[in-house]
Amino acid sequence: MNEVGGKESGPWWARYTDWTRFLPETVKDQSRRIGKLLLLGFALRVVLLPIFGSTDATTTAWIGTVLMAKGQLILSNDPPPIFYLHALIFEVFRPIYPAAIFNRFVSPVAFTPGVLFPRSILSEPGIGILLTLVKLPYLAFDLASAVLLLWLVREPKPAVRALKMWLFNPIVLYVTYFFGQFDIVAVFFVILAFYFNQRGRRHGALLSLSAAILFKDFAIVLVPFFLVLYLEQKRGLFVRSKEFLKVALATTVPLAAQFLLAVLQTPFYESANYALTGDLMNGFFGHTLYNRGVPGVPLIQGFLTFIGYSVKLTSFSPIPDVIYLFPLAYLMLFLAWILLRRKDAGKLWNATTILFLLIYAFNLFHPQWFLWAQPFFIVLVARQGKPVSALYSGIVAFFFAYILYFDAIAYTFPLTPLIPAAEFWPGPASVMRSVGLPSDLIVNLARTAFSGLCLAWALRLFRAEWLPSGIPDQ
Amino acid sequence: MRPPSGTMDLRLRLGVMILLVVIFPVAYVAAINALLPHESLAFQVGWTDQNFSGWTANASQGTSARLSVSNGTLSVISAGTVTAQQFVAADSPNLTLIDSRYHFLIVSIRAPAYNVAARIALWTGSGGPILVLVKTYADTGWHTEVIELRFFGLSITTPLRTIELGWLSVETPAPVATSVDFQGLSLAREVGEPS
Repeated sequence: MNEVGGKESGPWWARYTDWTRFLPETVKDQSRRIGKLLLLGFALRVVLLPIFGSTDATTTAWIGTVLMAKGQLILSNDPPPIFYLHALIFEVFRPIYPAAIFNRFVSPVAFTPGVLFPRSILSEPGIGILLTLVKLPYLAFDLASAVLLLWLVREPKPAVRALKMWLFNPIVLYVTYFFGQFDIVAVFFVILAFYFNQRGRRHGALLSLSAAILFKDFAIVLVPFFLVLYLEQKRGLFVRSKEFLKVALATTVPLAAQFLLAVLQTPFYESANYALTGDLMNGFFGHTLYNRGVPGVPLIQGFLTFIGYSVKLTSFSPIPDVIYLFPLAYLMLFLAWILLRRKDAGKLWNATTILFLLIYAFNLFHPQWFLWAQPFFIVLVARQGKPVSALYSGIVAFFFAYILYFDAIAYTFPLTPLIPAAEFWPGPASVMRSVGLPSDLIVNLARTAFSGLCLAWALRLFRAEWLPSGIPDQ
Repeated sequence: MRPPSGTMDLRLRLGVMILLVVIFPVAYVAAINALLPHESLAFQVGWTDQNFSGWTANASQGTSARLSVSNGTLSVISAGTVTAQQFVAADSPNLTLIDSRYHFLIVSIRAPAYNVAARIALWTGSGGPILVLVKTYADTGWHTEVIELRFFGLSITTPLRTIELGWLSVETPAPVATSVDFQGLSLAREVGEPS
């Protein structure tokens, strides 16, 4: 062992064994407890890696594999960068990539309806290894998000509580490891953006927001809120214009990158079945690219789908006057944000939480979209304790009722890698229908309660930030 | 009192970390992969037509078709120009004896260009034809299509009567003697699916 200047120094690799350097000073004294929690969380995730996965996970794997094997990009609603990440990982682990699945992904066999293809992959030999490879980057981003929460919450007790809630959160585990969706990658960068923002490092925050947008476009809805915060903290037209340009650049560069990747990469000619309609018709027919039954660019279609998912109010007049509730609520929240005095990182956190709550209350949303808000919910619950935790528990419970809308896709298909017969099992909503229960009514009522709880929490946060708290004490 | 942190201690710590973070997870995934029973997708064929005898030509008004069968491949060839949305096809004989448990229609298709879309329609004996496939392909290789017939409403109560294999022109008219080939036509069910 070397001794330098009277100080003991270990071998060169010694520093790599000290994992506590990833912890902030505030919680270093609890490193043993945190280490145990992280190890337990890691073990739980490893258990889930090879045994569950949805048709979305196998579709992601298909796109990544075709990109790796043929250098062709399958144009989907999701931005291309995530498929490059998967293609890279598949290439690195090519020697252990299951041959049976690889051959099916590159074979010229097509299914009608298309969902039969990813569904049948779930019961192929080697599915456990494929699912592990698909979720490997998710595991890294997920654990990094957990540690990031420790840095974001400065008070030691709530910080460890937030870590615990993240590691054993049913939504995080369901979306990332049961369903196998990649939203965790963008969510990590969103948390990172808020961390940098909290530390006053704007360039870091904007870069992280850019990375989040690159992997999933939803992060765009946060940009105007950051912009207003930054503009308010600056004085003078020139300085403000410079700030505006930086934010605009941070938004447009990832979008341009997505567009360029989609244009420059040779597209895979996925044949669309013109005999199908709506959501089921995807791919090329002749020279025209169809997305969910409509000719158009997938990325724009993705955005329009998001708007189309909003609850809307329609008039009964011959003029089709329509008001979309989510865009309306978004605009109102944004105006309230502009008018709010003394904005700071904490208020931005709360405003963003309200924004997500409004999305879930007023929009149809895919199960994986619910992950976007989890860090925001978890930090507030960890900090505020009881009344909010009850609200959050209710929201999580009703979420699992809400996803009955997706029936077998959300519940039974993901069991197929563990129990191959599950490929043929009906979903819980189908079972309810088959025994004579009004499943639609039940799900709709649960959905209504879910929206109610989301709005209740949004109102509570709104009151705390924007409204005076009633008559002041004498 | 704990022993001072030394090289052995560090080595042990590193070893334990590698064991927990790398070796155990890899062993677990390998064990799951080996122990859980999975079988490749396979179909049990209940009916097949390899020689296409008794099939007759059919076409939209204003055009015509001829059929050719060679080595188990049925070619549907246009005998006149086929303009946009016109089709030419081959109709199977009556298929009343088919067991409706075999609900996947499987066929391989080879088409010559983007402006020619393979087209498969079914007749159930009541109502008009049910279109189950209209597709264009990027290359002139064989493409196998697996079509779930139950998705299109076929069942024991509405069984399959006639299969129509053909093509239609897309975007630009297809000239005389344009041909789309079909082979390996079968009706099947997935191995392992509950009856």
